[in-house]
Formats: sequence, C-alpha cells, structure tokens
Amino acid sequence: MDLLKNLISLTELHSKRCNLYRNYIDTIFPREAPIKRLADLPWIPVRAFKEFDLKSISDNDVYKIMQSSGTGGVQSKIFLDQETSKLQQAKLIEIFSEVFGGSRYPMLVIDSLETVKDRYKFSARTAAINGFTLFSRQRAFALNDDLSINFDLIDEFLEKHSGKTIFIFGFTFVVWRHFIKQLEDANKKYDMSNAFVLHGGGWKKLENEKVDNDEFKDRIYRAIGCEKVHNYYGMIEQTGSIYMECSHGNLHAPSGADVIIRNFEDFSENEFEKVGIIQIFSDIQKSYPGHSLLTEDVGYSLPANSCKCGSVGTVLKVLGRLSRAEVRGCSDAVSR
Amino acid sequence: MLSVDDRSGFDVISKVSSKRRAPCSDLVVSFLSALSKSILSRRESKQYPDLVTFAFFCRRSSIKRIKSSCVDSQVRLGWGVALHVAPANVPINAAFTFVFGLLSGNSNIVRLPSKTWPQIDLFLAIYNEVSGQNDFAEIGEANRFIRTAHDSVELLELVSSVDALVVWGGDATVAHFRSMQKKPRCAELYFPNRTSSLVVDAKYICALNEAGLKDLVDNFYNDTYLVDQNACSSPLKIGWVGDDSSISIAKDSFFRELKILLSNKSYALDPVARIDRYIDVMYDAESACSSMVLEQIDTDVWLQEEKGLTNGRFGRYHSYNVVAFADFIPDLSDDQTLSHCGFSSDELRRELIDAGSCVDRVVPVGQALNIGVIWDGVNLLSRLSRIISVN
Repeated sequence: MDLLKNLISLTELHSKRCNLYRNYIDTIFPREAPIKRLADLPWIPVRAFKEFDLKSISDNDVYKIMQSSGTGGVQSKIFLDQETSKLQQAKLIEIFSEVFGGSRYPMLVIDSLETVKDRYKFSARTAAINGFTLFSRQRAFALNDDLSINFDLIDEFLEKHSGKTIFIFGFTFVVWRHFIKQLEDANKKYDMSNAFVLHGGGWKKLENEKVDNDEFKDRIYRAIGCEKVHNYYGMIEQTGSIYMECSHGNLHAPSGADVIIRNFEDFSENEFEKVGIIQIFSDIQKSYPGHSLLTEDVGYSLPANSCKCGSVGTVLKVLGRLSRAEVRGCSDAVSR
Repeated sequence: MLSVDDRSGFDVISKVSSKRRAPCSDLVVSFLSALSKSILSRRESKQYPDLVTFAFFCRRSSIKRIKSSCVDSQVRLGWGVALHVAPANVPINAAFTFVFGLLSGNSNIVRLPSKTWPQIDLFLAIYNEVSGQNDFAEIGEANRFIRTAHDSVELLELVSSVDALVVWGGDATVAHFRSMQKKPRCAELYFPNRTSSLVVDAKYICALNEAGLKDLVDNFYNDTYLVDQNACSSPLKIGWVGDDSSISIAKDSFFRELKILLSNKSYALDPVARIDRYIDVMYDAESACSSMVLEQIDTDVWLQEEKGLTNGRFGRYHSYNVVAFADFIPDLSDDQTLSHCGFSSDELRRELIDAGSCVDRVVPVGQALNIGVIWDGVNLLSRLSRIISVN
C-alpha cells in the first residue's frame, strides 16, 4: 500500500526534523512494533496544534502560518513551507475539479466581507473562504456585516453573471441560518438553478434545529432552485485533503488520504460501521507533523465500494463532536 | 436556590441575617445532626458515596469530636457573612465548605458551580426541607445557596460586602477572586491547585495476601479513579520504597490487582480526558526535551518514569523507585497530601518535618479525598472565626 509507505516515511521525516514530535512518539508508541496498517502509525491529537508549535522546517523556510480559532479562542498554528502550501493547493484543485470541473466560477460567498477582513478574528471560516477563492473568477459576499442578506448585491451579482455557472460557498450553519432561513422568512426565492453549492464546517450548530443533509438540500432547492449541493469534511490541520460529498451523498477520503475509526473504550481500531473517534491520514504534510491526526469528531466508516459512485476513497460518516463529559476533580485543572 | 444575576435575587441575599455565633453552637450541632439523619434516611442518597460520607461527617458524634478539638470555642465568634466559592468539579465540597462556615459561627452564602450535579441537587432539597423546620428557621434565614455568572456585577458587589471569603478552585479562579475589591477586614481563604503523592513500602505489598492486596487497590481506587485522578489530593506521583527486586514484585502484583478492579468496575475515562492524557505527555516531552520511559500498563493506567515534571491526571502517574522514604522527600516539593501504604503516619510526618518539607497532610491510602476542618495546612474553624481576648 503506497499510502502506508508514504505515511511511514513522513513519520520518519518529522521524527528527524521536529524534536517535540520525536520525543512524544518515542514515549508513547513503542518502536519494536512493526507498522503493518494505518492503525499502527503513531498519531497526535489534532488539538496538539493549539497547544504547541509543531514544525519540521527551519524558521527561514516558513512561508505561511495558518491560524484558526477554535472553541474558547485558542488558535491552531500550522506552519507551511512553499512545498506543502503548493501540495495543499494541488490537492484541493484535484478534488474540486473532479466534482465541479476544472474552471473558475463567479463565487457567491454566503458570509460577510467582515469575516475575512478582520485579521484578528481569523477563523476556520476565513481560512475556508479564502482557500476556496482559488476557484473563483469574481467574488461577492451575500451577507452584510450583521449577517443579514444583502439582496441588492445578490440581484446585481446574478444579473452580471446571468447564464454562467455560479459557485456558492459557505459554512453549513451560515448557509442554513443566515441564507436559507432568512430567504424563507422574507418569502424570497431566487433562480440559481445554474449554481452549485459547496458547504462545510460541521452540523454541530444545527443540532437543535434537527436538520439533516436531505432536509438541507431540499430547502436549498426550494429557496434557490439549486440541485447540486455538496458537503465536505475537512480541517485546517489537514488543509487540502478534504472529504468531498459524492453524487450519492457520501463523503469519501481523497487520494493520498484515508480515515480510520478508533473506539471510545481503548482507542483500538474499529471495524466498518462501528461508531468511534475519527482519525485522519494524509500524505502531503511535509512541513509539520500533521499526517496522522486523531480528531475529536465522532463518526464511522464504510468501505469505498459500499457507495455506487465509483470512488476508491473510504466512506466517512461524520456524526458530531466528542463532548467533554463532566470531568471530575479540581476545577480549572481541566482547561490549561 | 437563587440566581443573583438580577437584582431580585441579590436583594434576597443582601437580607441574609448576619448573626455571629460561637463555633459549634448547640443549634448548629442539632441542625447538622438532623441534616445527617435526613440524608441517611433517604434511599436516593445511597447512590452517592460522597453525600453519604458528608452525612457521616455531620453526625452529632463527629461534630462533638471537632468541637472538643476546638478548645477555645467558648471565646470565639464567626466573622459575620461568609461567601464560599465552591469548586466546579468536586461536587460535595460545596456542602463541606458550607458546613465549615456554619460550624465556625458564620452566616453563609455558597456560590455553586454552574454545572449541576445530582448529589448536590439532592443535598439542596434535603437542606431546604431541614432548614424549613421551625426549630431551624434561624439557620434558613442566615444561609443561601446561589448561582451567578463569573463576572456579574452582583457577584462583585457581593464579594465587596462580605466579612469572609472562601475560594476553592483552580489557580485562575483564585487569582480572579484575589484581585476583587473586598472589605478591608475581610478574612480570605484560598484553596488553589495542588498536587499529591503516594508512598509505598514495596516489602509490605510483597507480604500482603490476596485480600490485603484487594483492599489496597480498592483504597487506591477511591483516592484516584473515583475522581479520574483529578482532585488536588489524588496522588500523581508514586514512590516505591525498597530494593529493586521487591519493587518489581510489588509493582507487578499491585497493577495486576488494579487492572482486575478497573475491569470489574468497568471504569472508563471520558475520551476527551484520554486525549488530554496524550497532550499531557507532549507537555512533559517538551519540558524534558527528550523522550521518556512510559509504561502503558492498562488503557487508563500509565506509569511514567521521569523526575521533576509536574502534570499527571486521568490515569497517568509519575513513578519513582527509591531506597528509603527520605529519598522521595525532595520530589514532594509542592505537595499537599502524602498518602501511604505500609508506613506509620506519625513517622512519615516526623521525617517530613525534619526535612522541612511543604507537605500539608499525611494519610493512609484510601483517605486522600476525605476532607476535614484542617485542609491545606489550615484549620478552617480557626480561620473562619475570631478570638475575643481578655487580658
């Protein structure tokens, strides 16, 4: 398996170049055991990027530092050199073009300009919007600063690009709460049947509204007449290697990446269909040890051939996030 | 239960009657005895060992013992109104801190953590019932349990108006309350984060029969896994005293028995706490600047052999092999509780005093979490009351 080989050499590479990574994996993962499958690879919690500066390149080679604010405002710091940055872009282009074709489109961002403008509020949202701007020809923001809909702007945008394929992008809950619901409340409909929608960022915030993927798609169709709606799963710690929803409604691992599920009880590997903690692998992380990450997301996996779409990537079903149970013990020992 | 984030709740609090009493007054002793009986008579209480322990603490005989240890109680009085900030995650300590304040002769306002706990809800229901009885009306009028936001104006106002303040919490909570405005004479007591240790006589363990070993790991469990090894007095360092071969035999039998116990109890740590444990290892690796020897004995039993590092919780212990107890003392630098197995508390205390150690408390294994009027080296009864002296 090529992926496993690549990941083993990435583990070796980062062991050589990142002292903290080496000291950590040498402490936790005994060297004697041979690595025969993905589950045998050393891993780090994805949260480690919020707590430590983990990089495998010299300061001079740092081309870009990506930061995202997580819950509680603690930021992940991802160090990129030019090579990794290029690999991420190439991967994203590969995945995107497979589903949406290889050109650039007028892009309607379901968010406010404020979200990307304010450098101090840099978030996963900002990162995603800017990342996907790669596929835009012209970009417009559908929401005002207060996240209300800018109807005039949308009218203008649609008029300007009439007849063209439009790329609509936004965070799942923003698209739902600040676009679809607002359109419904205003009793306003658009004809965006020539558009496609890409959305990601998780369903957690929509839990109380009991909306699932089917309902989401249905309501989008009714509000803007768009049938092509794709969800994706991804995170800043593995930018580029996103899990894109196929035409059959399944998220698949992209090439050069894979996913396994670990059980809650002892973190050993789960078989397909069994719910546990999602661990993601990707072979393009050269500048930081992010090739094998235990997330705090909950889900299960299915073999690629369980989906009729023909993709060879493992199917991932994301169910939500691990929630911190009532941890016992002295109070703020919990959050460092 | 009141929320003071609005004025209506705050007004009720500002009317708390602030009659100062002598420590362990007859009324308080009778009230606590009635409270204890009521807790123990309820079937629901049995589910919460911590609530039962609390009820035993409140029994007349136990309070009498405390009273007799407080020799000058006849010439003492409480400060007035004491505000207690209860810890977020050792639920029953909210009840204990209230009782310490009450025994010292104060009126009490106890700020409960925002998280709710079933044993605290039960405690409050029983408290309301008992303090609602005619005999104890005075107690009901003088004490309140409240919830507030961390930074509400009302909380700040409350802190600035009380005569005594008791804060249980992490270092950040303590720093927060220390910086608030208080009355010039406010008596302040803080219980910040601490760490704790266990010292084990290897030969003693080697000599234990099966029942003795079972008891030992049972006690150890109560000190550690009962609270996910995350209480200040739960040991995080274990010192094994003896020669190499007895230490190795002692470790083997101890952990073999512990694994059986954890599996019998179906102990499972929260997955997020387990992930925290990996992060903790990374912190240690960062400060050690090298890899460390870590033995993963069981899913939630990790033994790390590395000295001088401080974090450890959620089933990860720092392990030290030493020839004599004296060799372990330098590693107990900032410790609160030293629990032990196979030693005498008095002898250990003597050695700690001779060595000028910081340890505040020496208890046999199994009693690490038992809170009492003396905590963190402080007698709460004396600190929460004043002596009226005569010449």
